[in-house]
Amino acid sequence: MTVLLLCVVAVILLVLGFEMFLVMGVPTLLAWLLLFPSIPPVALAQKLLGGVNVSTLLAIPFFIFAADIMARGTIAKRLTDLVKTNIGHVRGGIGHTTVVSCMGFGAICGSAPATVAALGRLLHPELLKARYSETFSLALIASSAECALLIPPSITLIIYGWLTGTSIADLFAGGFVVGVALGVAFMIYVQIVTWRTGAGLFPRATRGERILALRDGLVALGMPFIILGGIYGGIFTATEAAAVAVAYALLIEMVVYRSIGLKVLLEIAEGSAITVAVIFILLATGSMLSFLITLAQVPAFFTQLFAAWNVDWVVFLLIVNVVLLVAGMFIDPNSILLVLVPTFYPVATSLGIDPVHFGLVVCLNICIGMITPPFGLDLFVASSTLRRPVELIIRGIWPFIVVNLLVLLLITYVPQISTGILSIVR
Amino acid sequence: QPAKFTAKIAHLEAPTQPRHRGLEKVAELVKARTNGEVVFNLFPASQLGNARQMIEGTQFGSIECTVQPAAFLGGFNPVVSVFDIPFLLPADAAKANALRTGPFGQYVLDTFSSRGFVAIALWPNGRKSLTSNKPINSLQAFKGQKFRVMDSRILIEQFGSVGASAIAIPFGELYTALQTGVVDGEENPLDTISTMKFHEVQKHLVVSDHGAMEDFVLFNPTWWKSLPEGHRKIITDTFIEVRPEVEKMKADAKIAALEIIRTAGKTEISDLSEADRNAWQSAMAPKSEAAFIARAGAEGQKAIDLYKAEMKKLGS
Amino acid sequence: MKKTGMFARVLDVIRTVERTFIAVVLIAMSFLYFVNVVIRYFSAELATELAWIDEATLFGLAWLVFVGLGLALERRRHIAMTVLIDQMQGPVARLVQIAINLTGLAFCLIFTKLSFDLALFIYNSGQISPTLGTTMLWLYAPLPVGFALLSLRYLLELTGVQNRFLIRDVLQDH
Ligand code: NA
Ligand code: NA
Repeated sequence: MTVLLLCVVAVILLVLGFEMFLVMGVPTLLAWLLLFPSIPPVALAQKLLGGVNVSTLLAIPFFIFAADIMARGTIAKRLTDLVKTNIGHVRGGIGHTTVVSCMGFGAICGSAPATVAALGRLLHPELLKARYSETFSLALIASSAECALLIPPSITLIIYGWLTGTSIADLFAGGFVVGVALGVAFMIYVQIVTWRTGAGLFPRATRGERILALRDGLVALGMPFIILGGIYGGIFTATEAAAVAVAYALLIEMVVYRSIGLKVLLEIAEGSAITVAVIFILLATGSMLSFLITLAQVPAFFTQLFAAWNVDWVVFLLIVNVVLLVAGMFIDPNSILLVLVPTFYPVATSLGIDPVHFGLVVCLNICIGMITPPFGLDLFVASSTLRRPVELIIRGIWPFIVVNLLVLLLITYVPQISTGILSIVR
Repeated sequence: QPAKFTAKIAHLEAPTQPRHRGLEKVAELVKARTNGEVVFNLFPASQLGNARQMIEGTQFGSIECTVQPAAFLGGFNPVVSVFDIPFLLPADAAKANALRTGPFGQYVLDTFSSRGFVAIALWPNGRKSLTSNKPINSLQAFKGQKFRVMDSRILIEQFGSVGASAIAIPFGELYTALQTGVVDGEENPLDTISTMKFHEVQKHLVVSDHGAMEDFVLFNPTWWKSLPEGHRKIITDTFIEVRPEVEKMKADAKIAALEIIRTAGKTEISDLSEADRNAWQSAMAPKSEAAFIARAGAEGQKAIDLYKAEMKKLGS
Repeated sequence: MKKTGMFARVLDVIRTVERTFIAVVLIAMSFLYFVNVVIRYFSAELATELAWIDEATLFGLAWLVFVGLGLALERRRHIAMTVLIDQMQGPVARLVQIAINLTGLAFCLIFTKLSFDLALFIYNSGQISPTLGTTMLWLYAPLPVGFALLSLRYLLELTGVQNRFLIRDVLQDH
């Protein structure tokens, strides 16, 4: 009853245009008052900080900063010109480029929101110029970034491996297949939209234009090379790569092209910092909410449910998917993993479900959680870095959620997709 | 009979690991022995926050109890960092237990009371071993290698004293960092190495048992004082009673982990001879000890004095 | 009139300090993290001495996030569903705006108090950061500071000194 009331409060605040951190924070505060009065309230403040104070999240502010520098300077234009002159004349080329570059970038950096932050500002204007609609363009970027969590390396899969004792190498192999499958599904949808709307075409570039773009883009092209080479060469971690991206962007813009001066740098940093604050206060309130949900010991309910109710693996996975999808709408990926996997995993193994298969079902659900409203981190990052109202993105996201669900259905009930590669790798 | 006193016990290990199974045992026994008056609810796998948040929560009472390794407690009580000194606990299990239960162990537990905790027991949680992608079969081999360490000045000195560097990498990123070569190696108990699958990306393992992983059982003072004296005794006794069982589970987990690593076949495994152990200790321990005393001051000196007296008594 | 001038000047100073602070913190964080990579590449021994950088950068992140909240509010950068409220007019719109500002003010005042208590508790507990060796107060202090600055903004909005709802085009400073 109380919970229902709090949900109603949240919906009212949301619709009336309250700031999102209030939409999440006010019901959490009320929930504490009504349901957990014996917990010292300073714990709420502690959780706020806890949501922000995470090493692996540092990639987000750094990539936001790097992207803002590139957009304000010349690197962004040079890189997109290079892509445009080479594949712009292929219908849908820029749409597919968005999916593939998010897959490639996400694969190495491992963070979906960081992928949105790093690539959104480059790709979004070009998608619009190619006459894709605003809602489609925004949603395409937010969704494509999901692949970051599946294609290795993936911290999500590492945590799952730790919780369950599953081989991380096996999870990575399966994650690669599922991540690529998801990317291909997005590309099929892009192709459908392209046909239907006739968007996604640039005039064919002349040979001269192409050479010019290559010459101008060469130094800018160093960016992906340095990041890729640095991570795979073992020089820095994915999080550190974000700081290297900032340094390289500054070197190019301030020293090589002299397109940015010190005063402008301060301006850019200020703008990026505000974007960071806007995103991270939501991570903070999200962690406060997750804390209260964890305290409510919801998992115990499911343990009893499964014990009492003799389910087979088909029904079990259906329940798991529904629970994870609903959880993904409200709480952060980490909490979902830490709280729900220990509950579900023993049941999954007792039903004979392959641990790698189950891990990928869980991970794909977590990916979907990044784009499902109301609490979808990719949506927030896209909204704040691209300065578009969040409801615009949400309007475009539904078809992508449908594509996601179709892939989820396929992954759930065709275990061979996740585990087939293992017989080759092993 | 409904529970009169409930406590959330939070820790960071997976539900399958010995610490959690030990806590399940404690919860079951305490409930039975207090006729259901004291109920422990367990929150494994950092569900209630990372180590620092769990420890702070125990201080201000959002969590009633936490079980934490010494390595995460140094910022709250510098004296516990004595356990970060390499080769501190003797290899012999009985002697190690004598140290835990004797004046030295008791003194370290007592130092928690002025820092907002009630520390009731020390639980063994295995010993750390070393892995690397470069050979680590001699002290000279450490030179120039990069090891990932937990945030601790004393552990940093341990590697610095043999010419290796200590690099801070978040635990979640460590697998990938070892795979790509950002760092060469790391140190962890064998069962952590096998559950985190570090052996999939590490060529060499030395079963060095060089670092003690001691767990402290910490209670929130207000909650603890709200219990009747009898219940407090039951809880303390139960934790101490279950300790050998946890130690046994940990030893079994170590053997199982070794088997998993051996079967995977990607890692060359070697042991540390008695002579090597002594050589490593004299190379690594003194600087770590100095760093410890520099941080823990007079209390640290007293802990070291008690330790040395005790070791003399044990004939080591 | 002189008092208002004085008041406006104080606000300007606060704003300038906030703006400069968050910009410098972000640049410093990026610089430190980058330097750490470079130094580790050239000299692993020196890198050992830089183990504090990770911790310091996370301290910086907390400061940047919480100090940035107030500026984000007055520029209407916080994420919100604005479709409905932007279509409302007259007294209804005014009423909803007051409700939002009042709720925001109450929420932020509560959290200023809670996080101040927390920061004080952490300071008194004597907790020391593992690699920096300083009091953990430096990690917790940005919360009360940030929520106080955000409370101030909600107060200014409530009293009509500022009105973020007039900002319709969020793209303006792009
Ligand atoms: Na990835
Ligand atoms: Na979501």
